[in-house]
Amino acid sequence: MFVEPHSTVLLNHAYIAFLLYTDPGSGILIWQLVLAAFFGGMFYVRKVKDLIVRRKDRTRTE
Amino acid sequence: MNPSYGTRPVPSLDSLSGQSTKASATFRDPAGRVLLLNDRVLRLVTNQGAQELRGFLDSNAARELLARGQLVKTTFLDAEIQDLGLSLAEVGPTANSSAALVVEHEPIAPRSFPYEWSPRMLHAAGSLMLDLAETTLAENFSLKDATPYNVLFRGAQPIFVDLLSFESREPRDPTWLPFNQFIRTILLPLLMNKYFGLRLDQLLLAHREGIEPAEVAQACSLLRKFNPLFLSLVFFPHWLGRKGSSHNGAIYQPRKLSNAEQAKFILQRQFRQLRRQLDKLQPSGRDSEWSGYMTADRHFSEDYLQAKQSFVVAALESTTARKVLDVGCNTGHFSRLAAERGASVVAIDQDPTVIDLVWKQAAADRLDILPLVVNLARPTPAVGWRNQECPSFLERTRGKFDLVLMLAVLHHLLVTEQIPLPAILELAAELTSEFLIIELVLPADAMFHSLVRGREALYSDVTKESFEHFANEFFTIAHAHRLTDTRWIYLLRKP
Repeated sequence: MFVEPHSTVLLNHAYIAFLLYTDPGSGILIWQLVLAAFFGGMFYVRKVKDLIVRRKDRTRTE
Repeated sequence: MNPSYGTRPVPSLDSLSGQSTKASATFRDPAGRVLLLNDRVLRLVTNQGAQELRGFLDSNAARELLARGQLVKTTFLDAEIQDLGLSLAEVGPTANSSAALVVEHEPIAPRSFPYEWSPRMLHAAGSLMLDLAETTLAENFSLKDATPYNVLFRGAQPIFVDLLSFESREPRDPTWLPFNQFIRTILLPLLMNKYFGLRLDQLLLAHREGIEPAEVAQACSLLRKFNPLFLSLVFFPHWLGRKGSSHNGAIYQPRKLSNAEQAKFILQRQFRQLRRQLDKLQPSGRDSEWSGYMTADRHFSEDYLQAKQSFVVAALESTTARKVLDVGCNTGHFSRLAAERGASVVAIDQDPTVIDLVWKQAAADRLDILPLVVNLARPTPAVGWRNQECPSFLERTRGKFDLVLMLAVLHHLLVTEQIPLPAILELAAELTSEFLIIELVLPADAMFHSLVRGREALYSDVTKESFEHFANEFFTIAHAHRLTDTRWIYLLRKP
């Protein structure tokens, strides 16, 4: 799901700022990544669900 | 409402000789620095910070937030930092351009800090930050940090003041940078307060950067592990932190998705989850020793209350006080009387529960009352680096009020806190620029008697005559009124 952080993705300003401002403790950060992965999966589940609902509506109108 | 671009004259440091011109509120922000000059709040912004700031303030999101009163009003001054006689080095450690910007913010006074807020006020600050995060997401802006120190209260309304916290976000980035800080500085302190009864003033005074999940986990019983709120805020982060201790910094690498819509969906769900957690941490209306003082538990008559209220109302109207400090405000009854007559009121009490009630009512009724958890006998000290970042309560408020109320509080200062009467009156004279309304409770009074607990001999010299003698050292007595056999109320005026 995540783009691999190769050399194509440099530390941008946002992340420099991130380290300067928020002093991230690893536990909450890892939990944030876990939640993000979960919600990322929900995104596709919702897309599939929307597709099924649209197909049902189309079948009903036909 | 666009930010205004003005040509208001920029004060030069030379014209402010003798003033504390370098009393900057922040030095931690690499994008800029705040200077407090007299009553003006100026922010010196580096070139890079200026670009982001202009971009944000020109956005629809910023206009909406300004219209709602959730962001501090800001004016761009037609000046550069050299006009202030400052060098780049004084602006900030990463200042790298001679084209840095000066902006002026609407002053919000007095400043207050999170360790002076009640639980509902911290909750309101957290809710404000989520509002900002959700509103700015649509235009690809985000907050860099979510510390409650970015919020001030104008009366009872929270306002976000650190505009340099906003920056443009990469649309494919699913990470809300301040997630960790929001949990540590807002959610976990509220959790400790709600479930363990720990006072926020004690927690936040000692922990500027909030509380770690590991610290909360230590205080939890086994049963708490099955509480969903504790699982998500405490136990999973704590467990993952121990498991991930050998990550070698890999988790801090930036991440981008291939799909911007997905990134936005993730952020929206995160905000929704944080909002649900914040809602569950809404402070409950717990009673305290003093929360029933003005109602069922009172030891005084209706006549006494009416007489006291009439005196205070007459004094408020005759003095036309505009800035009022209510010391020992309790449920805020007299603060309300002052606010309803057009005054800006700061109401202090050492009991967080009553301050919560005062804030809740002031916010609901849109009254200009700023309630703070402050004990006048031990007011909040100056804290932070070199004791300069957050000035003490007395430094922020000395001489800033034209009327101070000290109703039914003098005997507590005398007996419980053992402060001598002349010292109390001396401090009151420093706090007010003109008037003091003070209630004298004599040793024969039932409340005084209950505090003394057998030590009556120590207070035998507290009489009406001795009080007036000491009061005349700092004030003239404008009016005096006998409320009961053991209570008098005075309107005092500085000469």
